[in-house]
Amino acid sequence: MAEDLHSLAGAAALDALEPDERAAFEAHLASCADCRAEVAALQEAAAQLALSAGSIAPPPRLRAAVLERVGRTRQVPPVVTPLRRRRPVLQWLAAAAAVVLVLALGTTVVVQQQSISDKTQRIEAQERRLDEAAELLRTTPQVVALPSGGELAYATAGGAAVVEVRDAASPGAGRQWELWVIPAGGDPRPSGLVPGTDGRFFLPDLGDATAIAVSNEPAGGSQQPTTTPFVVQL
Amino acid sequence: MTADGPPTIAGAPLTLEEMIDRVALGDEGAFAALYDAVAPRVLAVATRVLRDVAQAEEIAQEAMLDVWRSAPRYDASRGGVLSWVLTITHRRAVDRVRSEQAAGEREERAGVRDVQTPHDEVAEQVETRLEHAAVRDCLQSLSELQNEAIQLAYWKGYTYRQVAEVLAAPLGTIKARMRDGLIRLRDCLESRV
Repeated sequence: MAEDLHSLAGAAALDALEPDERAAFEAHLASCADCRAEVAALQEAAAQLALSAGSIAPPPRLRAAVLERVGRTRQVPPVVTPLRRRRPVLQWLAAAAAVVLVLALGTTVVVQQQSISDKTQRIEAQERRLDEAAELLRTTPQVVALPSGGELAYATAGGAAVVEVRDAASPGAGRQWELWVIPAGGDPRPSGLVPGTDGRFFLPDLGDATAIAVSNEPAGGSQQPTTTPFVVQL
Repeated sequence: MTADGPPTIAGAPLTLEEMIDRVALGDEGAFAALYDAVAPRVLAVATRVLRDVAQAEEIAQEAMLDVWRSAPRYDASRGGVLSWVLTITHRRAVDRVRSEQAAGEREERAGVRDVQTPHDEVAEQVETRLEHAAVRDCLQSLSELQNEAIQLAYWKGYTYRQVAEVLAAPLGTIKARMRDGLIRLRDCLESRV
């Protein structure tokens, strides 16, 4: 079976599979890193074919229509990867000077192979919670002043959160404000970069997170805070 | 958030990679810049597959919206931004061709199927023409079966089973020729860089 699917890599890269085969092939890809790499390489070749179609200047109304729809279309959450436990959170918190509050939420972040319909349902549930959180952020946000100016506003609903950085101080040349989610018993997770002084972030699954934080980082962000983060209990 | 002009750092235009990083964080201004950079390519691919301007514009719109929605999941380790965008576009276009085939509508437009893709020669830069020439030359370096199998699937939206039928070749042969044809195409293009 696997070998049979493997032989479909070229047809898959050309979008030339029958619908039921596409589903089986994609399920296979989820568990086969070599196959993913091969299809990615073949898709690069197929994209060269696409480039040979040239360019056609789109009419201005197309741009207007796309941008209008973008303004009311939610993005999918990034793929959440399970967090490796390293240091106990208290040890990390002791190192952080500006701890404000910490709270414990129940669930664990687990993204493993699930059936596609499970995944879709889960994403839909996350989207509902994000909608709720966004609505709460509009009506009754939690607002905390940032030490360097501006504020952090957030709302949570059922393990999802919407966070806004509003009117923050300039992070400085070549620097950016970065958002972190801090899980119980783990290191802060990079959770978004503020483009400038304002940003809005959708966090679909806080998992076992206990707090969020903001720190000043080199532009492009860091994997771990390199300056003392401002920590807020959710 | 406004969509006037591309966002810049210290006046330097952003690369597609920098744009997508910002789009992934919900930056609509960066998305407008990305749209301006890739939409002519997107529309050309949709037009070549669908051979119908109105439908191509519809698919281009859907594809760009897919790009916005799924930007947080763009994975740079699996290819460049433009390839990713055009892969999304191609799949959308082919899905439309198939749903029309299923509905039997496509044959009614048989008369316009072989219309040449209109190229915007003014917007097309010398660099782009060189790219075309490279792809054309490299396609010619493939075996006839490789070339035909790839072209029928990619531009006509045929599944590999349909390709096998049209070319009267065994399924296994067609699957293999698609795969080794793409590998040869890639190697040929790389050798010309």
